[in-house]
Amino acid sequence: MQITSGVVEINHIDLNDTTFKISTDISLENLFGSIENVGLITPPIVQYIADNRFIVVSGFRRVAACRALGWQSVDVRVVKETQIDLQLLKLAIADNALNRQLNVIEQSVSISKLSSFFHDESLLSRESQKLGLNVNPKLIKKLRKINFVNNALKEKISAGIIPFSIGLELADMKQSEAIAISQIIEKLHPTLNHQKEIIRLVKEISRLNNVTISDVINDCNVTDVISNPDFDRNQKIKKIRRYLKQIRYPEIVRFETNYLACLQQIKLPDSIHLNPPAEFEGNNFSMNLHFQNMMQFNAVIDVLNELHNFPDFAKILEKEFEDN
Amino acid sequence: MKITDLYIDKEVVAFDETKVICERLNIPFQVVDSSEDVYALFSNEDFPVEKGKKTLFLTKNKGKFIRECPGTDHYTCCNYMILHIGTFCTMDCSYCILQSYFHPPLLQFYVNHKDLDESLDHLFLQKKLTRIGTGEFTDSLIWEEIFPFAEKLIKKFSTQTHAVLELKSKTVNIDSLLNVDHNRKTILSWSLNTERILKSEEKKTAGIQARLSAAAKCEEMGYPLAFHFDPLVIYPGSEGEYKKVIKRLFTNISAENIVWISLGSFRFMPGLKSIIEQRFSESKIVYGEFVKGLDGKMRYFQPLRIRFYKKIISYIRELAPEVTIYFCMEDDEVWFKSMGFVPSDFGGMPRILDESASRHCGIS
Repeated sequence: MQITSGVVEINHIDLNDTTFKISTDISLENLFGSIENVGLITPPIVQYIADNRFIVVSGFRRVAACRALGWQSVDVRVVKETQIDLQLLKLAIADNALNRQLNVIEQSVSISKLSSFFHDESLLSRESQKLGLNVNPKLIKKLRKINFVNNALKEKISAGIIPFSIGLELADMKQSEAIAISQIIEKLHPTLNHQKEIIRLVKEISRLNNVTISDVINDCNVTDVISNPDFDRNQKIKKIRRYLKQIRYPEIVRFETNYLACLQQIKLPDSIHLNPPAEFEGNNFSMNLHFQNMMQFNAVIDVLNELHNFPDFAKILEKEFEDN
Repeated sequence: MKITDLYIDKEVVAFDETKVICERLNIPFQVVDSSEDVYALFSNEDFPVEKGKKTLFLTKNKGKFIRECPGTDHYTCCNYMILHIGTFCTMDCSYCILQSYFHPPLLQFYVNHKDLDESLDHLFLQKKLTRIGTGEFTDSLIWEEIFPFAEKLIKKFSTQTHAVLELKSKTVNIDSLLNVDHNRKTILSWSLNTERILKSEEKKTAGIQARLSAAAKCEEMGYPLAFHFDPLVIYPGSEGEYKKVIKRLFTNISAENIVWISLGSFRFMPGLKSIIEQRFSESKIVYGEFVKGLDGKMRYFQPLRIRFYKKIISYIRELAPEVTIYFCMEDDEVWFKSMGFVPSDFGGMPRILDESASRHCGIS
């Protein structure tokens, strides 16, 4: 590819043509200081179109920063108008990917643009790797999918506010539903596991009851919980998860509630902890006993010896609770 | 059986069984050096299950034709034996474990029947009471359309008195079996479910009345029968709908001729969930109240299972107080709370089923 160096008037560069734009970062502040102090180290790459017009192949932020600093002209590297788009796209991607780690949205944009030229995912994967994009065919599928989320969500994903895996889940939803879910994540910052759990529960309730995801969120009073000043962040997350679990698993929650009620009746001291079978599957109960000396040990034994007198203890072991 | 792609292992090209199948299918085929060549076709396939249901690979069973049912840890197994005639299925049930069990999911039919015969001869020589079936890794009767196989097996089993063959199906491909001399050493069995589940989850299978009518025909021809309520699916109104199916069962079939009825609530490896969600977007079957069981499979929350089983058992007992009912993969707690006894009270589950097979099929 023939590239020549030159100086062009900055107003002749069309920043609105994003044919080759990869970068999602639009902030210029960090570039201002560098350009003012040491000048433009690496000239942007532009393509000559016609009539003294140029479009950017690589270096959108650099051109924008120079323009914002009041520069009239800028050093550039120019490729000819006859250069084919694939070569320029490869140049744009390589110039970005080989100099820094692209975020997932930038990878997604790169893959989506390359997809116009490579339909086979294995070939696309190999070609992408030559440009510094470490993507296998499986990741390519995901990156293509994430390109369909709306711009507001893309910004949150590229900023790391919404994790990539969650973004993929949101890509399957309607825009309004994805936004509603992303607001919960943005406002409460649940752990990734809790984010996944909340999304799974909401989706499953929606499918099970033939209602929209927005309806599920509204019915759970999520907005009220989020804005309630009496709860801290963890309490809010816990409440939302509990609400959702109650709707998704009514029998299990009812059973667990009854179990806890029975457990309360026994009034076990803190030194004795009863562990029911995992998920109440099987009948393998266990206990943790805590004591520091013989006196405490004897106290624990006394409590254990009395347990058989509690009808609620028998109910627990039989896993047979009536509704309270 | 709609096969669009036929591959033949070069080792079995000259087999008579291969020739019969090629003639019946009458489609172009490709001879391959090894199974890897066929498996490779699935490596980047977006829809492997769909492809696998239309792709048939004729090959040898290079492992054992007779193997133990894999069962699962922590739950009571019946010590069933599997006669491994082929893999996968042309019908399309949303809940089918075979979608995620085989890698890739591919229709394979093993045509080295000489080896199969030898395996059965060896089994019969052991003179050990055995319950064996072909319906674990495939449907027992789907292959009838391309190869008259069941008849051969039935005849073979009819000549001995220690083993009983179970042919388990959701089809009504029974025409080739009706006039075979079976000597009651073959049990014909069908999976049963509610109309709603058949419609929403069991694509390309025979309807409930068709299955029961086929079973009734087989009963007329003297075959012992069995039925499998597996998977039992819990949904609003399901108890009443299963009750109707049970009533229909005993309207069509005499309880005295049923060797056993199995009950198994829907359970699945976690990996199957995404396949069902992707392939059957309308299905709600995976949205029950499931928890992870002791074997890692998702199962209905145990108290729900027990409550449900009790109902189903009461419906069956009302119409067939003596029929043998067993659970497929449940533990003693579920047995006791649902049935009122545990298998060990009667010598264990294998013994319960062996005795029923002895009574109905005359094996010893």
